[in-house]
Amino acid sequence: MKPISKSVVRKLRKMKWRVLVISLVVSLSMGMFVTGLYSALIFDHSMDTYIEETNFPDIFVTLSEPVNISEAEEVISGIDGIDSHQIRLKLDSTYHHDGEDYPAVIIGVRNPGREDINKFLVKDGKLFSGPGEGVVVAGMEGIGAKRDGIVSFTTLGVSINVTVTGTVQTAEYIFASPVKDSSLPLPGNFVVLYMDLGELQNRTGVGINDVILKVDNGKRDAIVNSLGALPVSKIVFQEDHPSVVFMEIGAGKMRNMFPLFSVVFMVVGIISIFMTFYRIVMNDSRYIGVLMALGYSRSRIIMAYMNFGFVLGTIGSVFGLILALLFTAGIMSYTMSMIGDIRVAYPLAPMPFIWGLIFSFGSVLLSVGIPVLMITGKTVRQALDHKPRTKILTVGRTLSGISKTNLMGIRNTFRNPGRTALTVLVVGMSIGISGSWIVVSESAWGFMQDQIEQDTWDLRVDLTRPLPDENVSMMFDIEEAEYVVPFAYLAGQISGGSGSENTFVLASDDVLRTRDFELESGKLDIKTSVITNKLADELGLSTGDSIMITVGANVLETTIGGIVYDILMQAVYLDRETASPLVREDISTGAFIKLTDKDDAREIAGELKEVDGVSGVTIQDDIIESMDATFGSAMGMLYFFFIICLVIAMVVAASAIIISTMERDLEFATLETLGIPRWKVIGSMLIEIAIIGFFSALFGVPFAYLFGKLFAVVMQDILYYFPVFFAFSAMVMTFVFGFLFIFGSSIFPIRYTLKMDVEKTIRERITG
Amino acid sequence: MTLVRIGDLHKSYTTGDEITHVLRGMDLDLKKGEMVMVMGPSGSGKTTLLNLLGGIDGPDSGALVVDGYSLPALAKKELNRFRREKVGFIFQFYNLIPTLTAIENVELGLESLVSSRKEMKERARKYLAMVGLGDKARNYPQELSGGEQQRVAIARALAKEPVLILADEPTGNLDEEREESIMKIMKELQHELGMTFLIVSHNTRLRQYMDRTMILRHGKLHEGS
Repeated sequence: MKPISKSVVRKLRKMKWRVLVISLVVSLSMGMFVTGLYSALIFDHSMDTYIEETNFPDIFVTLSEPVNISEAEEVISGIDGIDSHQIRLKLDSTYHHDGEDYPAVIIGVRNPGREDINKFLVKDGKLFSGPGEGVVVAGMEGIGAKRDGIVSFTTLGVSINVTVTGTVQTAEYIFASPVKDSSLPLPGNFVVLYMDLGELQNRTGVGINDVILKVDNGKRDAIVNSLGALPVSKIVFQEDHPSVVFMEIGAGKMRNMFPLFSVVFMVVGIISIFMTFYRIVMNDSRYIGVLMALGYSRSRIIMAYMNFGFVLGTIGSVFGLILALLFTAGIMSYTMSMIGDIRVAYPLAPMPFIWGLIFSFGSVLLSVGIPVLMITGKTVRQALDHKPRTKILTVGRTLSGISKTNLMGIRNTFRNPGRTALTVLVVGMSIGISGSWIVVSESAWGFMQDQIEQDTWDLRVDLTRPLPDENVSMMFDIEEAEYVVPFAYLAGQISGGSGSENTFVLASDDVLRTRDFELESGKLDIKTSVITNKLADELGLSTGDSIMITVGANVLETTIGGIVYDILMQAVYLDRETASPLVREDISTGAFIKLTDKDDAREIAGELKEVDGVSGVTIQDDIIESMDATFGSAMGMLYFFFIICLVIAMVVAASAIIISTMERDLEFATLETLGIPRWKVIGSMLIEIAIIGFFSALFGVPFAYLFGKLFAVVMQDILYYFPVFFAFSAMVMTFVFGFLFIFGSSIFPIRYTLKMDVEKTIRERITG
Repeated sequence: MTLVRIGDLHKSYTTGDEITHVLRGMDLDLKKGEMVMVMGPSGSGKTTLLNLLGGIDGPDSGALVVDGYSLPALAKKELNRFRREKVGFIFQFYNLIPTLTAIENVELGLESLVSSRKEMKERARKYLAMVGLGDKARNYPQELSGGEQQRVAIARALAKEPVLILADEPTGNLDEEREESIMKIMKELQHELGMTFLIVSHNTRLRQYMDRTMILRHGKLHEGS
């Protein structure tokens, strides 16, 4: 090995474990960077794999009235292009457990073991094999729907008890959501039972009302037309199925969010890596000057230092790859559970890792190369004369009554103001990124709570078929009701601005009683239209713009009177007269009910479900619970990011402080010769770290707000709008945790100082 | 009265597989209030001797007693206290703390010795004035010349008024006039306070101030001519 390379290798050996700490800066930055990129791909891949593995149907057909199996089979067998199909009986029902009632659906199928269409993935137990048995969709074990349990349902006035042979996962019910038409995946207590078709028919006396199909997609339109021979009420294509939509929304959010995290981590990583290596190389300036004096060319010196950077980059990258896999596995299992607990499928995608390696080696080699270039650009004399900057800021010149070692600690902090400022800036930014998660989570949570509290109704009742208003009022004329507001609820399309979007239309003269709408702009003029901000954002609409609403063959042209905040719905609110081109003025599809005592909601909901013509009852508290659960999981993830970012900030601070400590071993040894106890030396270091920690944490607070704002702007597009507010608790948390983590990084320089071989340092450094 | 007693002192260093025997059965007695210079070729072990006497380094074997303290028997904490109270170091390369002013550097050595802050300041000022730096007390080391820095280092060691001063080329950066002045101060302190000086130097001019000169060769001390 050439002497110059030997020197570099020995330098690394001498640094011992400090190599690991410095490499850790590279590893953590790279780890988070790769995690962000790779996670985005995993989301898409897992979703595709799941749909493919389960042979998710291409078409879901709902019949308006039951038919015989033979009748359905005859029609289907005559249609060209159907690869496989399943004929089912699907009934809304009520699940009973421990005196409570829960919304449920029972689906009768002939063969639960089919793999060619809507394959069940058994989570626990086994599939059912005969009458009296069934499987339930996993996730409702908490309310008794679990393996070997006997579950009780009521449907069409018939009581059905079934032994559960197992729990399954099915793409059809990834989100068994009780929240009607939410644009966010909100799971809740909703039980889905699959049982033997023959037995369900025998018990209820109903034929079949549901068909699922795997088809040749090229013939889809022709197949749909041919299905007209059956009394079809609704056809849903795979891409419009709620599960797919939810998965796509979830994957889309994550796909957009994670690269954003990557960019942030990359920026912090590059700055901290540069800071770390710049200082290492600059401290070697004299040595580089000696090499220049010995006649080494610039390129040879650069190459030698590149070897140094390469070794550290390699160590950092290896750990970075390991960290990336660990972070990815952790984040994936966590976030996948939030979007349906589908199996995480890792794609063979090398690009995130290649980008990660480019990032780590690129930033390390540049961080090493730039200062070497700067030094070798000087004359030999200048390089030899170069000393690490020792400008001492005159802070504390007049301080009295303070011990000299403590004074050293204070002045050491400012001995190189530029470097201190950069350290505080980078560490402050890292703390700021950490704190931004708290800002984002508190803002989102606060906004979500505000939104929920805006609804004034306690129960929402949906009917199986539209009824005249007077009938609806009579149906729900219960003494516990404070108000009953009938509405017509329609699925349609809104066109305007940049295109068209699916939407729901809610027509009611009293809709303003059902919610304390928060205006984003305009006014609550339901005589024109009021639309939710999510819809307005998607289409780029603002108040006064013309829109066209289509429901089936009916069309309404109107303008936007106001835009309201709503995190759940893509909806248009109209009064009955305005909505009359879309739906008859005196016809309702449901009603909002406010009770005099909210505590009665569940009991009354149970009674209303039994009323003929009621298809479902949504309890407002269920939505709140559901949102709490979803956001609780999301918040958990944000707190995970909070801690990870703090660890990165800690490592950045530790690497900066360690290098400062290494520069000062001569001073520490001198203190030792003066008989100054080591605890005093450590005390001076703690003061220095405390000052850096204090200022970094202080700067971290406004950074947290700024980054929080930035994330919120991005999330507005990919998730939903929420206003960012900086609660005092978030400021305190950012500051306190930021300070504690940075102060915690003192463990590294303290360890270094305690382990310092004073005798050796004195022999080598003091006595020359 | 004997202040320093060294008997059959051995010290070696191991570098890789190679063992270097620096001191090989060294003997030395220093009387209290004596000023002794040690000369010797480079690598002869002069600095090692200073480090051993200052409790910075430990011997392999042999007796090493300073002011009644057997240094090899002292625990780390006790060695620290010994250095703080009994010994003053003057380093060849000054080793001033760059973040402390000249007077603060001097006070640094006094902090744990003098209970009164006022007394500490007065003593630091006094010694800085003695070495001719009374007007530069509030200057930082980098604002001082090499010679001035060396004088601050001398003031820092002397201000402690220890029983033993260990000096490594203490006048290496001083002109002859300053050298004379500093040596005179040391002599005064030797007589007034009974300080003992062990000075390592190549400077033969210093011999005129010494009570004894010793030559360190082959790991042992020999009386110099």
